[in-house]
Amino acid sequence: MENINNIFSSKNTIHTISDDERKQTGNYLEVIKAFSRTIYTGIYVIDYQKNKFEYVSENPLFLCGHTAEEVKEMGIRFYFKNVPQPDLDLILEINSVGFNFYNEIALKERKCYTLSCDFNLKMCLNQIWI
Amino acid sequence: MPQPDLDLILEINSVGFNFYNEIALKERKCYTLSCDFHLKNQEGEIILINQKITPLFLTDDGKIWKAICIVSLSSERYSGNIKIYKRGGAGVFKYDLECGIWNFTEKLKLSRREKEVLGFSIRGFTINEVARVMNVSPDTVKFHRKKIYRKLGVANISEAIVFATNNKLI
Repeated sequence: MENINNIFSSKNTIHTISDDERKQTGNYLEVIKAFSRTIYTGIYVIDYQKNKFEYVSENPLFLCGHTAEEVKEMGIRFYFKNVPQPDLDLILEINSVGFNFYNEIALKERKCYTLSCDFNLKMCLNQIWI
Repeated sequence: MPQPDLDLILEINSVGFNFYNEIALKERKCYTLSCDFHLKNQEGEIILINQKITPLFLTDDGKIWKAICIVSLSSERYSGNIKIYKRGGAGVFKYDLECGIWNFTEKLKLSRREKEVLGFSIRGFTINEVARVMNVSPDTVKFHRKKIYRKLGVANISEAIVFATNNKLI
Protein backbone atom coordinates (compact mmCIF):
# COMPACT_ATOMS: atom_id res chain seq x y z
CA MET A 1 0.00 0.00 0.00
CA GLU A 2 2.88 2.31 0.80
CA ASN A 3 4.05 1.98 -2.80
CA ILE A 4 0.63 2.78 -4.14
CA ASN A 5 0.53 5.98 -2.14
CA ASN A 6 3.97 6.90 -3.45
CA ILE A 7 2.81 6.54 -7.06
CA PHE A 8 -0.01 8.95 -6.44
CA SER A 9 2.56 11.55 -5.49
CA SER A 10 1.88 14.08 -2.77
CA LYS A 11 3.22 16.60 -5.27
CA ASN A 12 0.06 16.10 -7.28
CA THR A 13 -2.64 15.65 -4.64
CA ILE A 14 -6.01 16.96 -5.82
CA HIS A 15 -8.85 17.21 -3.32
CA THR A 16 -11.69 18.62 -5.39
CA ILE A 17 -12.44 19.51 -8.99
CA SER A 18 -14.41 22.71 -9.58
CA ASP A 19 -17.27 22.96 -12.07
CA ASP A 20 -15.09 25.12 -14.32
CA GLU A 21 -12.30 22.56 -14.26
CA ARG A 22 -14.78 19.82 -15.09
CA LYS A 23 -15.92 21.73 -18.18
CA GLN A 24 -12.58 20.90 -19.84
CA THR A 25 -13.78 17.36 -20.48
CA GLY A 26 -16.28 18.75 -23.00
CA ASN A 27 -13.40 19.64 -25.32
CA TYR A 28 -12.72 16.30 -26.96
CA LEU A 29 -9.92 17.71 -29.13
CA GLU A 30 -7.74 17.91 -26.02
CA VAL A 31 -7.77 14.11 -25.93
CA ILE A 32 -6.67 13.90 -29.55
CA LYS A 33 -3.92 16.45 -28.98
CA ALA A 34 -2.65 14.36 -26.06
CA PHE A 35 -2.51 11.30 -28.36
CA SER A 36 -0.65 13.25 -30.99
CA ARG A 37 1.98 14.27 -28.42
CA THR A 38 2.65 10.66 -27.50
CA ILE A 39 2.48 8.68 -30.75
CA TYR A 40 4.43 9.15 -33.98
CA THR A 41 1.55 8.73 -36.42
CA GLY A 42 -0.36 11.66 -37.91
CA ILE A 43 -3.95 12.20 -36.73
CA TYR A 44 -6.67 14.26 -38.36
CA VAL A 45 -10.38 14.66 -37.68
CA ILE A 46 -12.94 14.96 -40.49
CA ASP A 47 -16.20 16.81 -39.82
CA TYR A 48 -18.70 15.51 -42.40
CA GLN A 49 -21.32 18.06 -41.45
CA LYS A 50 -19.03 20.97 -42.25
CA ASN A 51 -17.04 19.03 -44.87
CA LYS A 52 -13.90 20.24 -43.16
CA PHE A 53 -10.91 18.97 -41.29
CA GLU A 54 -11.56 19.87 -37.65
CA TYR A 55 -8.05 19.02 -36.48
CA VAL A 56 -4.71 18.15 -38.11
CA SER A 57 -1.77 17.00 -35.97
CA GLU A 58 1.69 18.44 -36.41
CA ASN A 59 3.39 15.17 -37.32
CA PRO A 60 5.05 15.96 -40.68
CA LEU A 61 4.36 12.51 -42.14
CA PHE A 62 1.07 13.58 -43.66
CA LEU A 63 1.63 17.29 -44.26
CA CYS A 64 3.55 17.20 -47.60
CA GLY A 65 5.59 20.26 -46.67
CA HIS A 66 2.61 22.29 -45.40
CA THR A 67 1.96 23.38 -41.84
CA ALA A 68 -0.78 21.58 -39.92
CA GLU A 69 -2.83 24.80 -40.00
CA GLU A 70 -2.54 25.02 -43.82
CA VAL A 71 -3.68 21.42 -44.26
CA LYS A 72 -6.59 22.08 -41.91
CA GLU A 73 -7.62 25.09 -44.01
CA MET A 74 -7.28 23.11 -47.25
CA GLY A 75 -9.49 20.35 -45.92
CA ILE A 76 -10.65 17.92 -48.58
CA ARG A 77 -8.73 19.91 -51.24
CA PHE A 78 -5.57 18.54 -49.63
CA TYR A 79 -6.24 15.17 -51.24
CA PHE A 80 -6.75 16.68 -54.68
CA LYS A 81 -3.50 18.59 -54.41
CA ASN A 82 -1.26 15.91 -52.92
CA VAL A 83 -2.58 12.52 -54.00
CA PRO A 84 -1.42 11.32 -57.48
CA GLN A 85 -4.32 10.81 -59.93
CA PRO A 86 -4.53 6.97 -59.88
CA ASP A 87 -4.65 6.98 -56.09
CA LEU A 88 -7.17 9.82 -56.07
CA ASP A 89 -9.51 7.59 -58.08
CA LEU A 90 -8.71 4.81 -55.60
CA ILE A 91 -9.60 7.05 -52.64
CA LEU A 92 -12.90 8.01 -54.22
CA GLU A 93 -13.69 4.33 -54.72
CA ILE A 94 -12.63 3.47 -51.15
CA ASN A 95 -14.87 6.25 -49.91
CA SER A 96 -17.79 4.93 -51.90
CA VAL A 97 -17.46 1.23 -51.05
CA GLY A 98 -16.53 2.11 -47.47
CA PHE A 99 -19.77 3.99 -46.94
CA ASN A 100 -21.75 1.24 -48.67
CA PHE A 101 -20.31 -1.22 -46.15
CA TYR A 102 -20.80 1.16 -43.24
CA ASN A 103 -24.45 1.78 -44.02
CA GLU A 104 -25.16 -1.94 -43.72
CA ILE A 105 -23.84 -2.09 -40.14
CA ALA A 106 -26.33 -2.09 -37.25
CA LEU A 107 -26.49 1.36 -35.70
CA LYS A 108 -25.21 0.39 -32.29
CA GLU A 109 -22.18 -1.41 -33.78
CA ARG A 110 -21.07 1.36 -36.13
CA LYS A 111 -18.37 2.68 -33.83
CA CYS A 112 -16.73 -0.77 -33.57
CA TYR A 113 -15.37 -0.65 -37.11
CA THR A 114 -12.14 0.75 -38.57
CA LEU A 115 -11.29 1.13 -42.24
CA SER A 116 -7.63 0.81 -43.24
CA CYS A 117 -6.08 1.56 -46.66
CA ASP A 118 -2.79 2.66 -48.23
CA PHE A 119 -2.26 5.40 -50.78
CA ASN A 120 0.56 7.51 -52.17
CA LEU A 121 1.18 11.15 -51.31
CA LYS A 122 3.27 13.58 -53.32
CA MET A 123 6.05 15.00 -51.17
CA CYS A 124 7.21 18.59 -51.60
CA LEU A 125 10.25 17.39 -53.57
CA ASN A 126 8.22 15.42 -56.09
CA GLN A 127 8.88 12.19 -54.30
CA ILE A 128 6.16 9.63 -54.06
CA TRP A 129 5.67 8.29 -50.57
CA ILE A 130 3.14 6.17 -48.84
CA MET B 1 6.23 -5.59 -11.91
CA PRO B 2 9.65 -6.87 -10.71
CA GLN B 3 10.92 -5.12 -7.53
CA PRO B 4 13.93 -3.22 -8.99
CA ASP B 5 11.69 -1.67 -11.61
CA LEU B 6 9.07 -0.82 -9.02
CA ASP B 7 11.72 1.24 -7.22
CA LEU B 8 12.66 2.76 -10.57
CA ILE B 9 9.06 3.77 -11.23
CA LEU B 10 8.79 5.47 -7.84
CA GLU B 11 11.95 7.42 -8.62
CA ILE B 12 10.71 8.36 -12.11
CA ASN B 13 7.45 9.50 -10.57
CA SER B 14 9.27 11.66 -8.06
CA VAL B 15 11.82 13.28 -10.41
CA GLY B 16 9.16 13.59 -13.12
CA PHE B 17 6.90 15.65 -10.84
CA ASN B 18 9.87 17.75 -9.67
CA PHE B 19 10.56 18.60 -13.33
CA TYR B 20 6.89 19.18 -14.08
CA ASN B 21 6.40 21.58 -11.19
CA GLU B 22 9.10 23.86 -12.59
CA ILE B 23 7.30 24.28 -15.94
CA ALA B 24 5.32 27.47 -16.56
CA LEU B 25 1.60 26.77 -16.07
CA LYS B 26 0.50 27.45 -19.64
CA GLU B 27 3.19 25.14 -21.10
CA ARG B 28 2.56 22.12 -18.90
CA LYS B 29 0.51 20.28 -21.48
CA CYS B 30 3.31 20.49 -24.05
CA TYR B 31 5.43 17.91 -22.25
CA THR B 32 5.61 14.12 -22.46
CA LEU B 33 7.60 11.78 -20.23
CA SER B 34 8.88 8.52 -21.70
CA CYS B 35 10.49 5.59 -19.86
CA ASP B 36 11.00 1.84 -20.13
CA PHE B 37 10.29 -0.79 -17.49
CA HIS B 38 9.66 -4.52 -17.13
CA LEU B 39 6.27 -6.11 -16.72
CA LYS B 40 5.46 -9.71 -15.85
CA ASN B 41 2.74 -11.07 -18.12
CA GLN B 42 0.19 -13.77 -17.26
CA GLU B 43 2.60 -16.55 -18.25
CA GLY B 44 5.18 -15.14 -15.83
CA GLU B 45 7.40 -13.98 -18.68
CA ILE B 46 9.09 -10.63 -18.28
CA ILE B 47 8.74 -8.11 -21.09
CA LEU B 48 10.22 -4.63 -21.48
CA ILE B 49 7.69 -1.97 -22.35
CA ASN B 50 7.89 1.72 -23.17
CA GLN B 51 5.43 4.09 -21.55
CA LYS B 52 4.74 7.66 -22.59
CA ILE B 53 2.63 9.88 -20.38
CA THR B 54 1.30 13.39 -21.05
CA PRO B 55 -1.15 15.59 -19.13
CA LEU B 56 -4.68 15.66 -20.54
CA PHE B 57 -6.60 17.97 -18.19
CA LEU B 58 -5.08 20.22 -15.52
CA THR B 59 -6.51 21.80 -12.40
CA ASP B 60 -6.54 25.60 -12.26
CA ASP B 61 -3.32 25.53 -10.23
CA GLY B 62 -1.59 23.33 -12.82
CA LYS B 63 -1.76 19.90 -11.23
CA ILE B 64 -2.39 16.95 -13.51
CA TRP B 65 -6.05 15.98 -13.19
CA LYS B 66 -6.08 13.37 -15.93
CA ALA B 67 -3.20 11.99 -18.00
CA ILE B 68 -2.93 9.74 -21.05
CA CYS B 69 -0.47 6.83 -21.04
CA ILE B 70 0.63 5.07 -24.22
CA VAL B 71 2.25 1.67 -23.76
CA SER B 72 4.18 -0.21 -26.44
CA LEU B 73 6.99 -2.76 -26.69
CA SER B 74 10.30 -1.09 -25.86
CA SER B 75 13.12 -0.79 -28.38
CA GLU B 76 15.68 -0.54 -25.58
CA ARG B 77 17.84 -3.24 -23.97
CA TYR B 78 17.30 -2.20 -20.34
CA SER B 79 14.76 -0.38 -18.21
CA GLY B 80 15.13 3.33 -17.39
CA ASN B 81 15.75 5.66 -20.36
CA ILE B 82 13.84 8.47 -18.68
CA LYS B 83 13.23 11.22 -21.21
CA ILE B 84 11.06 14.31 -21.34
CA TYR B 85 10.03 15.81 -24.68
CA LYS B 86 8.45 19.16 -25.35
CA ARG B 87 6.01 19.43 -28.27
CA GLY B 88 7.89 20.99 -31.18
CA GLY B 89 11.00 21.24 -28.99
CA ALA B 90 14.56 21.09 -30.32
CA GLY B 91 15.72 18.40 -27.97
CA VAL B 92 15.09 16.00 -25.15
CA PHE B 93 15.80 16.06 -21.41
CA LYS B 94 17.36 12.78 -20.30
CA TYR B 95 17.53 11.89 -16.63
CA ASP B 96 20.85 10.57 -15.34
CA LEU B 97 19.88 8.13 -12.57
CA GLU B 98 23.40 7.95 -11.10
CA CYS B 99 24.01 11.67 -10.86
CA GLY B 100 20.38 12.58 -10.26
CA ILE B 101 20.33 15.33 -12.91
CA TRP B 102 18.53 16.11 -16.16
CA ASN B 103 20.74 16.61 -19.24
CA PHE B 104 19.47 18.35 -22.35
CA THR B 105 20.51 16.88 -25.69
CA GLU B 106 19.63 18.00 -29.20
CA LYS B 107 16.99 15.90 -30.89
CA LEU B 108 18.38 13.25 -33.23
CA LYS B 109 17.80 14.21 -36.85
CA LEU B 110 17.64 11.88 -39.81
CA SER B 111 18.48 13.16 -43.29
CA ARG B 112 15.89 12.99 -46.06
CA ARG B 113 17.73 10.01 -47.60
CA GLU B 114 17.87 8.20 -44.27
CA LYS B 115 14.15 8.75 -43.75
CA GLU B 116 13.52 7.40 -47.25
CA VAL B 117 15.53 4.24 -46.52
CA LEU B 118 13.64 3.73 -43.24
CA GLY B 119 10.32 4.43 -44.93
CA PHE B 120 10.88 1.75 -47.58
CA SER B 121 12.22 -0.68 -44.97
CA ILE B 122 8.99 -0.31 -42.98
CA ARG B 123 7.24 -1.51 -46.14
CA GLY B 124 9.42 -4.61 -46.20
CA PHE B 125 11.65 -3.61 -49.14
CA THR B 126 14.99 -5.49 -49.33
CA ILE B 127 18.24 -3.56 -49.81
CA ASN B 128 18.13 -4.27 -53.56
CA GLU B 129 14.51 -3.12 -53.82
CA VAL B 130 15.23 0.08 -51.90
CA ALA B 131 18.21 0.71 -54.20
CA ARG B 132 15.99 0.29 -57.27
CA VAL B 133 13.22 2.68 -56.16
CA MET B 134 15.70 5.27 -54.89
CA ASN B 135 17.77 4.93 -58.06
CA VAL B 136 21.02 4.34 -56.19
CA SER B 137 23.37 1.36 -55.77
CA PRO B 138 22.79 -1.29 -53.07
CA ASP B 139 26.08 -0.16 -51.49
CA THR B 140 24.67 3.35 -51.10
CA VAL B 141 21.61 1.93 -49.33
CA LYS B 142 23.91 -0.09 -47.04
CA PHE B 143 25.89 3.10 -46.36
CA HIS B 144 22.70 4.96 -45.35
CA ARG B 145 21.61 2.04 -43.18
CA LYS B 146 24.95 2.01 -41.32
CA LYS B 147 24.68 5.74 -40.73
CA ILE B 148 21.17 5.27 -39.32
CA TYR B 149 22.37 2.47 -37.00
CA ARG B 150 25.23 4.64 -35.74
CA LYS B 151 23.00 7.67 -35.16
CA LEU B 152 20.32 5.71 -33.32
CA GLY B 153 22.72 3.36 -31.51
CA VAL B 154 21.00 0.24 -32.87
CA ALA B 155 22.25 -2.95 -34.52
CA ASN B 156 19.78 -3.72 -37.30
CA ILE B 157 16.96 -2.35 -39.42
CA SER B 158 14.09 -3.67 -37.31
CA GLU B 159 15.53 -2.05 -34.16
CA ALA B 160 16.02 1.14 -36.15
CA ILE B 161 12.35 1.16 -37.23
CA VAL B 162 11.05 0.69 -33.70
CA PHE B 163 13.48 3.27 -32.31
CA ALA B 164 12.55 5.81 -34.98
CA THR B 165 8.81 5.40 -34.40
CA ASN B 166 9.09 5.36 -30.59
CA ASN B 167 11.16 8.53 -30.74
CA LYS B 168 9.07 10.29 -33.39
CA LEU B 169 11.96 10.58 -35.84
CA ILE B 170 9.89 9.80 -38.94
